[in-house]
Parts: sequence; C-alpha cells; structure tokens
Amino acid sequence: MKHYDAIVIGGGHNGLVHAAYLAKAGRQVLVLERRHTVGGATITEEIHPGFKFLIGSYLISLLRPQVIQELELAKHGLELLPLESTLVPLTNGDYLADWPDHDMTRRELLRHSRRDAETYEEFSLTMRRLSLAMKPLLDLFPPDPTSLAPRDIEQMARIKGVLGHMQRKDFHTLCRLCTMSIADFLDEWFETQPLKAIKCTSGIIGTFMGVRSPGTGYVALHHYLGEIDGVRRSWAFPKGGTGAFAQSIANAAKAFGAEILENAPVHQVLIKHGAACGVVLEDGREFYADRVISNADAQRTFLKLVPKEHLPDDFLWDIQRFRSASPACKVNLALDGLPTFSAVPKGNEQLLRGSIEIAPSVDYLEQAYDDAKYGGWARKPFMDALIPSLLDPGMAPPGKHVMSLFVEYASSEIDWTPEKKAQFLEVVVDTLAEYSPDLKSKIIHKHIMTPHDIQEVFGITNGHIFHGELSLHQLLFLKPSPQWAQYKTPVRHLWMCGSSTHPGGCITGAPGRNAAMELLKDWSA
Amino acid sequence: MMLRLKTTPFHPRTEAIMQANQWRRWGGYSVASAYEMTHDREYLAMRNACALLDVSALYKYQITGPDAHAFLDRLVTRDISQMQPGGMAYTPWCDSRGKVVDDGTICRLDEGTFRLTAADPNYHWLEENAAGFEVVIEDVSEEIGTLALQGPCSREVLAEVFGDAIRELPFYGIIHLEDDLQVSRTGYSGDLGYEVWVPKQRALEIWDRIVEKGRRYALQPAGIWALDVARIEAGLIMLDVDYTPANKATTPAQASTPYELGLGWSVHLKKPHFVGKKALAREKAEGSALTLVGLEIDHDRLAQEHEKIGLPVHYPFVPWREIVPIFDEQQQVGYATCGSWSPTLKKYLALAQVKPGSSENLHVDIMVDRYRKRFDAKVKKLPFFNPPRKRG
Amino acid sequence: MKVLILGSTPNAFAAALTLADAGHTVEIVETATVVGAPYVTQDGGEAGLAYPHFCPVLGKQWGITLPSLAHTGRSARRADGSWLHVRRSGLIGATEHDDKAWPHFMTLMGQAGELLYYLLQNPEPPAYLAEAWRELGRRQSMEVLRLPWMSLRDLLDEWFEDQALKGLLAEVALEGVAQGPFASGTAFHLIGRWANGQVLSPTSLPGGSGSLMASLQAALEGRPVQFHHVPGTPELAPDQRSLTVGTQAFEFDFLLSDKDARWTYTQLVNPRYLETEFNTAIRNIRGRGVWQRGLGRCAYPGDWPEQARLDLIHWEPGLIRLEKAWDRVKRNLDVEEGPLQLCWPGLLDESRPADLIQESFGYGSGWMGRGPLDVTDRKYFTPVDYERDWQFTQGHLFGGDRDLSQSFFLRPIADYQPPLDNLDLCGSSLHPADHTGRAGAWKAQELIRRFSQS
Ligand SMILES: Cc1cc2nc3c(=O)[nH]c(=O)nc-3n(C[C@H](O)[C@H](O)[C@H](O)COP(=O)(O)OP(=O)(O)OC[C@H]3O[C@@H](n4cnc5c(N)ncnc54)[C@H](O)[C@@H]3O)c2cc1C
Repeated sequence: MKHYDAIVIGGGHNGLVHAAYLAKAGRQVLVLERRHTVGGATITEEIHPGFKFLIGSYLISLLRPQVIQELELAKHGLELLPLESTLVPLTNGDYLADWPDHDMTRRELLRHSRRDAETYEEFSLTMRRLSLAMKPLLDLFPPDPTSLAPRDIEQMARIKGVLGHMQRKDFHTLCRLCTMSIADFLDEWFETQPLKAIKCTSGIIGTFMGVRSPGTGYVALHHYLGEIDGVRRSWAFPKGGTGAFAQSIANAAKAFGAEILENAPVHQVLIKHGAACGVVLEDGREFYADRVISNADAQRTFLKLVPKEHLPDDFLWDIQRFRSASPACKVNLALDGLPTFSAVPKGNEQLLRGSIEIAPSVDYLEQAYDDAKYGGWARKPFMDALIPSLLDPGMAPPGKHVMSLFVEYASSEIDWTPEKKAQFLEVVVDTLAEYSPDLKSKIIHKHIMTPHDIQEVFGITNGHIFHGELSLHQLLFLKPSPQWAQYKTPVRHLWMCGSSTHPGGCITGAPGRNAAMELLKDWSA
Repeated sequence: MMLRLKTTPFHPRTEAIMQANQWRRWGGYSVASAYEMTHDREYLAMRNACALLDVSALYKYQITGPDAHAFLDRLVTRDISQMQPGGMAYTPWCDSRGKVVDDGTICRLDEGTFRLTAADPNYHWLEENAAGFEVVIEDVSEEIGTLALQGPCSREVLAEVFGDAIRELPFYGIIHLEDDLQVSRTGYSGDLGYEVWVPKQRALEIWDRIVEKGRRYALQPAGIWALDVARIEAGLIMLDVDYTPANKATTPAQASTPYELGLGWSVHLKKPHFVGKKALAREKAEGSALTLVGLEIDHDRLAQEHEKIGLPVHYPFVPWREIVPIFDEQQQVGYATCGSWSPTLKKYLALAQVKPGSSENLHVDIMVDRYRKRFDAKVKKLPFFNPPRKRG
Repeated sequence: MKVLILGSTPNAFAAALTLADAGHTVEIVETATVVGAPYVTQDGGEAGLAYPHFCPVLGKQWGITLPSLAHTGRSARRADGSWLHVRRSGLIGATEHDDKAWPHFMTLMGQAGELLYYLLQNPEPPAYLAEAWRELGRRQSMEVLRLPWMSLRDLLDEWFEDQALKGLLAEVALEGVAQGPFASGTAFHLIGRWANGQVLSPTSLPGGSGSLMASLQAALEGRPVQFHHVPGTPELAPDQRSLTVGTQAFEFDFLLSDKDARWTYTQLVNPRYLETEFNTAIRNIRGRGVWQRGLGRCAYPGDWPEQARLDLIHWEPGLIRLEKAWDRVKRNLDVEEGPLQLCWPGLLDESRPADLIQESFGYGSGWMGRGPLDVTDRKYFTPVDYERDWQFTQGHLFGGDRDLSQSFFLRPIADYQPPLDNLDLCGSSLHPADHTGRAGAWKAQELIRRFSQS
C-alpha cells in the first residue's frame, strides 16, 4: 500500500487548497472525499436536467487573492463575473437599488433620503478603511495570547502593528462595530429602512443572530473583507457556478501532483502511539500517511472521526459546546422564463443581474429571526436571491433561467420531515411571489436544502454554512477551541484545515492556505 | 428609464452647440469639457471678451430661520458675522480636526435668507452642524441653474441684459433682479466676472438673453477645460483635485487644512467658537505640514530638450490633474496637483503643496518624449494672474 | 478654585468631598425635583435602586460606614410551584447536574468578576491585571477571555439545564439592560453583577438606599461645601462662568456635571458651542431606560417557603420567557410576563414596614402586568418618571448602556476629551459607569492635579 506524506479528509474548497499547497511544496498528498465529486459546499449540480443549481454557496468575494495567484487558478479554469448591483424590491411597488455607479447610487438614494445619499459614501469609505486594516488578520495564524512563545508574541506584535496603523477614530469605530449590533451601528448612519436592511444583511448571513444582536457588527465586517481584482467589497459569480471554482482548485492540486479520490468517506482516523497515521474508509479500505488533515468541520472531525479516548476532556467539551446551530437554507428554482418583479420599472431590468434582496426593513429581518430563534422558521424569510443564468448563460437552457435563493431563518433544530421541508419551501416561494407575481407560473422545478439537508449532503454538522457560528467568542484564538486554534489538534500529526478554523467560513481558501503554511513550517522544523 | 447622468437646466442649449461630444462628469451631471473641438477660443474669450459657463452642478443650499446667521458663522472658518444683505464671501469649512470639508461661497440674500454653494454634497454635514440652532436647511441645487459670465466684457453684457444696476455691483456683491433671480459678482476665473442664479424654469430664457446680448461682445460659451486654465492662473484651488475633502480622505495625510491650502487668510481665530477652531489655533501656533505654492516650470528648457531630439515643443494646453512629486535637490518636499500652460502669461504653471521652508527653487520630473527629465520649478506668488479689473 | 457640581448622585458627593479635602471651594446644586437619585427612599421603599455599592475605600476616607443588611440569596419560583434557592454555599432544589456544575461556575465567574473588578476599581487598566489574568493558567485565562463576548444563553446553556436557574441568573444580569439573553455580549453584564456581589449576596442599607445619601450629606458638615436644591432648568451663561436656575445664579471657575453625558451636552451645554463630530457621538450614545420599580403593600405569602423570606425572589424565570418578553419590549409593546423580582425589605430591616413589597421589573418600560400577588397601594416609578423628575436621559439610571461598546475607553464616547475648558462630567456616564463614587473622585483628583499645574 502506498504511503502518503499527507491525507486530507474532505475535498471542500479548503481541503483542495490545502492539498494543492502541500503538493506544490513537493509532498505526496491524497484527498479523500466522501461524495461523488469534490467541492463540498462550493458545488454546482444539475438537479433538474439542463438546469445547474447552486445547492451550496453561490458567490465569491473573500477568496484570498494570494490563493488565486499562488495556485494559478485562472490558468486552471477560474473565471469570475462581478455582480454589479443590489436590488431591494418592496411590496409597495417601489424599490431601492445600489447601482454599480457612484452617481447613480446617489441619485437613487436621493429618492429615499437626502441624508442617506450623502452618508452612504462616508459609510462605504469607513467600512473600507476598517476592512483594509483588518484584512491582514485573515492571513495570520491566530496567536495564543496566553503564550510567551516567540512565534505567538511575534504574531501578537503583528496584530498590534496592524491595528496600530489605524487612525484612532477608525480603531474606535472598529471596537464599537465589533461589539454592537449591526442595526444599532447602521442607525447611526442611515434613516431609510430598505437601505439599512440591505446593509444589515451582511451581519446575519449564515449567522443565527438577529440584526439587533451585538456581534452582528463583526459578521458584517467579515463580509466586507472581500475583494475582486482589488475592488473592495464586491462579489462575483464564478462562471459555471461555485462548482467550477472548486474544479479549478482540484485541477491545480492535480497539476501539482496531488491525488484525489472521490466516493471515499472516511470512517475513522487511525491513531498509533497517540499520533495520527492514516484513515480507514467506511468500506474498510485503509490509507496511511505521516500527517492527516481534516477539512471536515470540527464537530464532525472530533465527535465522529476521532475515537474519544484520544481526546482530552477539556477539548472534547470545547468541541461539544462549539455553537453551530444554523439558520440557513438554500432554494433553487428552475424557471421557464425570466420572472418579473412588480417593483422594477420597465427599462431597469438590468437590476435583475445583481443581487436581489428580500429585506424591506430592519424590523422585517428582526421578525424573521424572532420567528425562528425558538426552533421554528421565519413566516416571512429574508432572502438573498440571484439569477445566475443572466450572468452565465450556460447555467440554464436558452430562454430558461435558474434562480438561487439563500434563505434565513429556519432553524437546524426543526425536525425536518419531508412535509416540513415542503411547507417551508412553500413559505419561501409564497414570500417571493409577493414581489414577483408571475414567479409561480414560471417554476419548472424547485429544490430546497434545509440545514438538515446541508448536513446530510455536505457532511457539515447542523448544516452551519461557516462550520460553526462566527460569534466573537468563537473567533481567532478561540476557534474552534481556546487551546487548539492554530490548525493543530490534541492528536499529534492530526491537523485541521476547514472553516472551523481561523478565519472561518465563506469561500476564502484562507484556512486551507494558512494551515498549509503552518503544517509545512512544522514539518521542516 | 435608462441609466443616464443628470443634465443641467441649460442642457438643451449646451447640447445644441456641442461639437465634439466632449462631455464629462461633474457632481453627477454631464457637463462640457469644451464645446468646440479644442478649448483655446473658449479660454481666450474668458480673458479677452467674455465666456459663458454652465456651473449648475455646484451644490446650493438655502439656510433660513432665526439662527441662520449664527449657524453659518459657526460652520465656516471665516468671520461672516458682519455680512449684510447683498453680501457674499468665499470661505472653506472644516471638521473638528481643522481639515477642510469643502469650500464655497455664502451669500446673504436678504435679512433672514442665506445661500451656501459647495463643490460636494453637504446637506448631511450641514444637518449635523445644526444641533442647537433653529434653522431650516434646504437643498436647492436642482431648483437653481447657475451661469457664470467671466471676462472683461461681462459687465457690459449683463448691464445690457439686466440693466445698469449691474454696474454698481461691488466685488463679492449680490443683487436681486426680476424678482426671482440674482446676479453676484463672483466666479472662478480670477477675472472680472459674474454669476447668475436662475430658477430652473427660466434657465433657457436667461441663457438666450445673455447669448443674444453677448453676440456684440464676442461672448463664447466655454467648458471646464477653459475654466481650469483660468483658475490655475488665478491660483484657485479645487476640491478633489488640489485637496481631498476631509470626510472622504482614507488617511489623515490625504486631508488638508486651510493653512495648507493657502487659505489661512480666511481663518479668523478671533471669532467665537467655530468648527475646527481649536485644531486650527494649534496649527497656527505650531506650523503647518504643507503650504500651497504656485510653481513656474522652466518651459524654455523643456522646449530645448524637445528640440534637441528633433521634436516639436510640448505645450500642456489641456490642464492636467494628477499628483506629481516636487523635489528640493534630491528630496521630495511635496507634490503638484494640477498644471497648465498659461496662454496669457506664456508660462507653464502648476499648483503644489510643499513643506514650509523649502527652497524657492524646486524641481519636477517631466516626460520628454519617452524619457523622464528633471526641470526647474520656481516658487511664485499666487495668484499668477490678477488683473485690476477683477475688483475694479 | 471654585467648583460647582451639578447633580447629587454619590458621584457628585465623592467629587465634592475630594475637592474640598484638597482645599477647593465647592458648591453642589441639584436641579432635579429630588435629591440623591438614583438612591431615593420614599415611605421606607426605594423608588430607584436598592443596593448601593458605594466604594468602601472612599467611604472610609470620609467616615462613612453603613451597616449593611445582607439578603440570604436569591430564589426562583418555578411555574409548577416548586422553588430553587441560590446561595453562595450552593443550590437548594436544583437538579443533580446543576448542583455539580455550580461550584465550577462560581469559580469561573469569580475569576472573571475579580478581573473586571480590577478594571472597575481603576481609572486605567492596572498593570497587575495582565499578571492576574495569566496567573489563572492557560485554560482558565482563555475561559475568562471568552466570557464577555458570549450571550447569556450560550453561557448558561453550556453550564446548566434548569430553566429557572438560567433564567434567574440572566434576569440579574439583564435588569435594566435593553437586550435579551440570546444576544451576544450579554454575559458581560453577568460578570459585572458578579463583580459587585449583587448576584449571590445583595446587600441593602437599613432604612433604604436613601440612607447612603443622608450620610453623604452629613459628611459635608464642616467642609467647605455648600449644598443647594433648586428644582428647575439650569441655564449656562454663554461665557460658561455661571449657571442660573430660576432666579438663583451660581458662579464658578469650573463646573462638574454629574448628569449624564447626553443630558450635559445637549440640555446643559448648547451643542452649538461644541464640535460637530462630538455632538454626533453624544447623540449616538445608547441608553434606553427599561427598568421600572413597583412599591406597594402585601404581606409575604404564608404558603411561600420560609427560606425565601429574606431573598430576592424571581418569579418564574426562564431564558425563553425572558427573551420573549424582550421581543415585545424591543418593539415598544407591553409585556404581561416580563422578568419580575420581589422582595420584602421590611423582613430584613425592622425600620421598614414588614408588608412593604418591592418589585423590580427588568424590562419595565411599559405595562408590566400585575404580577402574581395582590398588592395594594402600588406605586410605579418608570423611566418616564426618572427622565422627568430625576433628569436622567431616557430614564436610564447609569448614564447610558453599559455594554462592551460603551465601556472602558469607549465611555462615554470613544476618545472623550472634555470639549470645554472649564466643564466636565463626573457621573456614571464615565468609567466605571456606576454610582460607587469612583467616577466622581477620580475626576476630582484629575482636576486637582490640573489646578495645581496651572
Ligand atoms: C447553502 C450555503 C451557501 C453558502 N453561500 C456562500 C456564498 O455565497 N459565498 C461564500 O463565500 N460562502 C458561502 N457559503 C459558505 C462556504 O461555502 C463554506 O464556508 C465553505 O465552502 C466551506 O469550505 P470548507 O472547505 O471549509 O468545507 P466544506 O465545503 O464543508 O468541505 C468539507 C468537505 O469534507 C467532506 N467530508 C466531510 N466528512 C468527510 C468524511 N468523513 N470523509 C470524507 N470527506 C468528508 C465533505 O463532503 C466536504 O466536501 C455557503 C455555504 C452554504 C452551505
């Protein structure tokens, strides 16, 4: 049997990025993916013939530019189509749009509020300055603040340096933003409800918190850390869907010499003398390697794949209490034609090429959370919609369209029976139909991924899209466990490289890359 | 509704005379860079006859209410407490760090009505400043069209259009005419000139009347390029070109104080509290990081260098707007922000901000064909061009 | 120097006494309709806060020692009629699981509380803080660091299974806080309450919290401090050299405002004299008063356990119930089932009527429901009253929310520099955001240093 340098459990985008970096450094790497295809939550699937559905993630922004460069993803097939606008349709027939152009956005906002039209730019600049300052943190391994080890101290000093460079005022704004609710923060800037609401949504994506809960300010900032070709805070659709993006990393990894095995669910990590030495698959096959790196989420890794006796009690408790209750669903619709939105004036159809947000007001969002937080679902959910076939005609047959809907809130604690699933899918379609009366008549096929489905299909505990909540007590050196936040684990030679580690979820490639850097350094030491 | 930039109330007229589709953006409007193929004649008219400019893109705010006067006096750095109806003043205004937010004019239309013009939207800033005052702030930007008539013949033309009252108008005075329009003796050319403030419904009528009477005086509609040459000659600064407004600066160094912009004369530290007073008083005492200077670039040598390699001499007729390093010996001591050939003075001029105490003899790098060469740039007193008729 | 102090909370007195002891002339003037808010006792019952925490070090300095009466602890009555008693020594009536977890939880909270206490006891984070934190060891220090960011729900769900216990602790933490227990950062409030002993051993004063104010007033005797109570609207002269209330004028070299920051810089000082960004920051201070007091008569029910007589009693507490109440309060709707604490101060303190019942409505900004008992002669004191009669902006008793975004160097606003040369704050709007007298004493010390330099 072949002996590898490293085995990566899971072919999610972070697993692939990680494998590619190790392979690039000359290591023999094997990626084991339980599904029939790699990509994890970054995947495109033809659920209905001819229609490509984004059953997981749908847009890219936080992907680290280094990953694109160092893994030569453009050469391996990555194509990004930036989104231009954001549209908030309202039920009163009006709408609010964020156009791709500064002057147009200002003019649009003027229709709603003179004050907001002006604060908008200042707000964007402030967020830009904050994210500029924060961004270097994405590429650092989180230092242990209790440690006096030179590397930790050096890293702390770097963080201090990053923050020290900030203007005092910005530093204070950062402190406030991270400890405030996004709604409170936005109240200081804007008065227009739909404007506040769309800005609020960055604070609740994937997060089981309401817009009035402190901590959502940080989540919003997290979503501001992205860039496409240096344009801050912009989102792009990868041609062919996020699955095509995953394929580009897989291609890169293979080009560097990594092996990828699909349909290979890992049953357990093999541990000898306290050190990981390989894995055994559910079908009994065994693979051996010097290092085992798990791309699966922390709870799945340590509560399912590693026998308990190898883990200290404290650590186990940390993993058990790691919050991963999830509020997010994904719905895809195959459509017989482009739906019309009653709020969108004739001639402005180009607005449908951007994000469409069902987020008419802050209270709407808060109510959606309140409905779901005791273990239910929102009667009127928040939705982040996209019609990818308008950007990439390959996503649907000619003349037809696909629509991707990211939906909150519906609790992972619901017992998701097929009936419940169908009911909630109706809630989603009904809500959307309030804005698009001809939507229902155009639906050819509809498909929902509840938190439970996300768990079953992607193997993510509770279906939490970020592999665990992005709350402040689960960040940086607290992610996923206060003592094991530097990609290492209590089991020697077992590492983590998935979204449960710093800097967390989203399509970033950062955990995969950071973990690879750490692992390679550790290896050579 | 197609996505289009806004157009000013004069657009039907300006569009009709546009020869080369040279539109540009200004404050969310499309306005002319030049109406003719080149802007030469437009500029020359401004210095020799008169040029008509559509400056409606300026933001205009009307301030009324019992505290309007006190409110504005606290807002800006200049002491305007003595301003009488019919008075007008140019002034910058700052944030609490003493960094310039914008600059523009304030006029007192009547006892209780003031109007402030600005290059950028300022409604929110005005509102923020209104705490503790009883004032009403209205954005009248879109209600009022503004024409600037600049140049030695402008007085004659306007006197023919509006009557002899125009002749009495002092520098920085404003009068009401025909009930709903005003004429002020202001402008951005550093020359004799006027600005006409008209309700947008009457915009075309007024344009036509001015053009009609102006014909005898070789009136020429002019675009932004011509104005830009003139304002550089006049040493007048421009937002987003010579400075970044305080609320848009990414780093503190990007923002400027009035002292740094050569506007120290407009900071009246003796008046009671105004926004940024503490910081400005400190700067006044401790000195500024930069100071605005006029530069005269050695064009003779620039010409020689071109001739040496068999090229025609380069004249920067269209003003440039970019950040260009300025050196004192080998050391960068500041940067130029705009420059232009002055057809009137026959000099290559630039505006720059340099460290106080730098030499009078500075240097700048300029491309000669494909290679960069260093040229002398002498510090000159601003304004470069200041004809007596401006105030006379 | 002649210093005028506007307001009469313990911070005002602490500032006055500190200044007077350094030889400055001090006048205190209170313009609210009552003196000594938020510690006002009426007919034996507290109209405002009942458990003063005047700084013992300061108290000693001025000979103020008050005998404190310790409640035995807290109790929760569950919906099924069963009882839970929370004692420093342990839980009574709890589940086995919670019983076991309790001592460990006390240790953790004690450690976090102690560290926070160091922060609250000093104007700047003391150097020994980092050391004390490291001394906890790697594991515990991380646990402590994790706490303040958590929601009460996350924290309490990690430790306990009994809704009543979780609800009780969350209610203590959130009393007067405009947040629900599901919100991140709410665990910080529990650490704060733990730090001053309010969770396990709340102590009151004989005769009510107003007696603290009486002794503070008494301490002025023989010191160069004059006290005036002139209800009305204070007007600051434009030259900021004198303050007029009605017909009375007070001259000063320096004015210290014990009123909250929002009140001081909008009502007292006209914002037109201040910098614009400062005004914006002041306007953005959050502090919605959501706490309400009820005072009435009702004997301790005979069928309630003896054990709870001297306790603070929480009525059917629960995390979900608390969050649901907040769902309504945050939308300005009335709640029937909000968090309710009951107490019979007269059972502990013979100087007060035995049937005096004191109710504390955690989210009491609107109609709070009647509660479980037949209370007669009931009087409510609401945020509206506190704003109108006590001059507390939005009826918030601590000069603005005390969450992480408005604590320490972010309090009262980030980078606060007194904008006027001879006026500053000295009350609970400043760190440490309480009525211990520390904010006042520290500000006074700062002034004394400044005066001696100039
Ligand atoms: C519905 C949804 C929408 C999202 N939308 C966006 C978006 O628009 N933009 C964005 O940036 N982010 C989005 N995200 C988040 C983002 O997709 C994830 O954070 C990210 O893809 C996680 O990548 P990962 O590689 O860390 O983990 P995953 O993608 O979860 O990969 C883990 C992999 O491990 C495999 N695995 C697990 N257990 C085993 C085992 N025992 N043996 C073998 N293999 C195993 C899984 O099958 C999976 O392939 C979304 C997520 C979801 C679920």
